Amino acid sequence: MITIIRNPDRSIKTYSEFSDDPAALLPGESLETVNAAFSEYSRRFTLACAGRSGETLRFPRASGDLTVEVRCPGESTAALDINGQVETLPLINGQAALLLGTEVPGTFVLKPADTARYCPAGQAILVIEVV
Amino acid sequence: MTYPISSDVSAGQATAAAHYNNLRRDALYFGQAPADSKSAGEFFARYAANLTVTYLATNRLRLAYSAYNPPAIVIGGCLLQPSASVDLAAGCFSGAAATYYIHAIRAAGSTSFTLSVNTTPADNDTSRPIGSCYWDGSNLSSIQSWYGSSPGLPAPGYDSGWFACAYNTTYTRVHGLGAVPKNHMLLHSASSDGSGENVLVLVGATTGGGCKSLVGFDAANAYITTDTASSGGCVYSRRRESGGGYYRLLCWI
Repeated sequence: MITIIRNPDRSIKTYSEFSDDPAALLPGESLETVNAAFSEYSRRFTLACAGRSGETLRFPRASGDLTVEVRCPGESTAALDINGQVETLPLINGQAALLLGTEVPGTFVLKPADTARYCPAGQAILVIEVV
Repeated sequence: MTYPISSDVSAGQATAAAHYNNLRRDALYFGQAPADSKSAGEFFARYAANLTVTYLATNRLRLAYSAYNPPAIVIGGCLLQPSASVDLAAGCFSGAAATYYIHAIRAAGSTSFTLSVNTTPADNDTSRPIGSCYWDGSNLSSIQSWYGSSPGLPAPGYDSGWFACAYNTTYTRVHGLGAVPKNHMLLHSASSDGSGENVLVLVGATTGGGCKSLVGFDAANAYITTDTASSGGCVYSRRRESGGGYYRLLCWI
């Protein structure tokens, strides 16, 4: 059993291993209890690159395409927010691969587009810098 | 330093004043001159050791007995040592939230002591405070043993467990300690189970450069505001940079 906190716009702000107290809420936020284990809930939507997630990754410019591994178990599609642009990926066995080019220096911020369903935090947010 | 300064007296030998005075100096001052040494009674008046108080369900306290490190305390000049664990009676906490002080209580005719709680730490010839705890109106937390035997850092008074974080967000955690923590540790993990390296969070990265610390406290809550940079708003360290991942907050009071 875990708790999730929603922002006033219903997007999921965070989820916690231990039960959150209603006193932890900021104005407009709400608290929900979810009958799931913390590790199970955290795997609902994950993004990784080169086997790493939950941290910022840096790659040199012109180092070839990067493969972002998208995992969303039990789903057939996943809508991804990439620097504010939404892209829907078909999933096979709950997984997809997204290629990112490294020709141009910049930052890719990837997270779930449906933030009312998936929390854009933890391992569901991935930042890749091409430097 | 000579110790002891008293010596055996042979059978039939008259006991001189020096014999008695040396024996007295050995007993009271470990053989030293009264000008150079506190008396044993004064020295040990505040002695207390191995008094580790732990939680006992429901909303009770236990002072655990160990034959290897037996609890010991001096109260009102009396040397007290229980021979078994000492439990606080049920129903000692009620009413509004408050910090309670845990007292060891001496009674005439006993070489042991009992436990009591009070919202004041004042002591007297029959009572000495040995720790504190916080009553939030329903539950006990933050049990502190002032004379515990546990080596190293005690268990934290608050542990948030892991929770998902993202850059540019404020998280409130209810630590419920009743006071601003004296120490804290914010850890970052890239995985939800905390496996792998846990990085100590001191600052987050700010968009456009620079960094800022993230954590504040009051008597009830901890506030963590992650910084604005997507690449390092949650942790900005030589060990790791991240705008996501998981936090775990530990607090000591």
